[in-house]
Amino acid sequence: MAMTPLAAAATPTPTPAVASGLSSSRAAPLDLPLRFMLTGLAFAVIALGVAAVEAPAFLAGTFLAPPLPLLVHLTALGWLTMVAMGALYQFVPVVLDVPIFSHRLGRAQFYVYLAGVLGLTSAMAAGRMQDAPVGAALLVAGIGLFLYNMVRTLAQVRRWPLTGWFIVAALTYLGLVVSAGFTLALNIRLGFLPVSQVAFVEAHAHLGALGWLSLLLIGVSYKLTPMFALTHPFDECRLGKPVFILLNLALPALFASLLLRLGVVALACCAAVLGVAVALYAWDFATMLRRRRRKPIDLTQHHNIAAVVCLCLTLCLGLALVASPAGTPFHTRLAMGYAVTALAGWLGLATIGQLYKILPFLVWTQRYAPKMGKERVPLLKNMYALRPAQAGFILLVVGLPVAVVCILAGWLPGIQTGFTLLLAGSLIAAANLFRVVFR
Amino acid sequence: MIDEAALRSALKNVYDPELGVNVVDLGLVYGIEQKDGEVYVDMTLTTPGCPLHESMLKGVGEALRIFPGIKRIEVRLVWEPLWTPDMITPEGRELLGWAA
Repeated sequence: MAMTPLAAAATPTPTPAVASGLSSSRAAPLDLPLRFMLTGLAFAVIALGVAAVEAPAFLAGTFLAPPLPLLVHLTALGWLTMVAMGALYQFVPVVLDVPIFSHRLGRAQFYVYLAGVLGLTSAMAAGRMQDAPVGAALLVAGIGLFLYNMVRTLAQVRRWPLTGWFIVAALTYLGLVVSAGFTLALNIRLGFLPVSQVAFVEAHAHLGALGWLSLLLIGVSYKLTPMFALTHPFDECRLGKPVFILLNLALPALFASLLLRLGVVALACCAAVLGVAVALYAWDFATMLRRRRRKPIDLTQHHNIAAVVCLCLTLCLGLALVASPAGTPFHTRLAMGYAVTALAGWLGLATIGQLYKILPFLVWTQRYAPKMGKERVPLLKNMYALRPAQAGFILLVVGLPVAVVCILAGWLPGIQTGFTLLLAGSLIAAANLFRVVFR
Repeated sequence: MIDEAALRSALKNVYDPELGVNVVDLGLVYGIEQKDGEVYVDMTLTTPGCPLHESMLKGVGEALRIFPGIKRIEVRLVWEPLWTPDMITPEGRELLGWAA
């Protein structure tokens, strides 16, 4: 039998000494991932609140008009990236069996990054774009520190599962998207690049949503879905590797096609490759669930199923966007619906779903793990209120299609209703998860 | 020597907090040895990289502390044979909603 190195032998004590097969903990301290995740949840509520109040902006006809840039950055940076960073601080040590290079750097990075998000979004909210470079610089510094911490951490990894490769690729795209964003901000001011601002924004957004966030979510789901659903055996590499390769072929090509305006044929080719990758992943995800040994589908999996459906819908809307004539009001509304389905649907639902798993686990590890074997301890699913969580999920999955369909139809009251439902769903999720931590 | 059934019964108080099934019914406990007042538990986890690994191993050790006369408890994490759901007992399968 292969065994892990044993811990030191016991010293004489009145009760028997216990030696376990793990001599030290690699897990990050509770406060490190927690601060990112709770802040990310707060930003989710703020972003959806702004969307509900500023619903007419979805009919404004351009992505560049306020408050849409504010809304997109609150969502992508404040909500999704904040949670993703916290999840990586918790996930990487456990799955790749390495300690985080520096917890102190992680904590410092949180404050720099938060200051950057607040600086950039408050400048956008106030319409003082001349103040945006300060926030943008802090943001770049915060992400730079995060990437440095992750690179030093990943340099210690000895065994690379498929999920590890997805994480490396996602972090590479994070570096690229922040570089592109900073260049875009400079270009708006100095105009040194001969490319359209709209084209740059579209390319930058796809790099972030698809490259950084989607690769991370897909990679993590290849580890977590079979683990929680007890899907054994499951060969993650059979379709997971083609998915990884196709996504990494399509993304740089899509970035170039959007930035350089290479035309409909180039975009259609990129969309076709992305479509195959998404279809393979969706098939694999369905297979993981179909073959599960743990029959009840939990709250996180419900969120994940809805999220993968939104990923497929995003792809369909993206294909429709390529096929529809540009410059028409419907084309712009299609682009808005596409962005909302991707950000609030695919990425947002999956993120909230994972938080229902990660936050109870973090608190359980701190509060109840030392009592394991000595007394009865609660199960993870008992740490949050299930009924409100289910109600919140229903509000999210009803609100999203209402908002998207009404954006496509150009009907303002429906858009307001959809985002109000989404806001209510996110408020319930945030209240429920904050209660797990602070009760 | 302590009756192995009693040791296994004590280990049934250690639950996987995610699955809600104890380590014995999950089939994670591969063997229990006793020698000169020392107890050795060979156990595995449902997957390498299980986020609960440390808590589960410590919990198993703690659960056996109730027996008088044990001088030392050692919990050994093993990966061979690799765990599969087929190792779950009928009781565990029922808890997971998995008809045998």
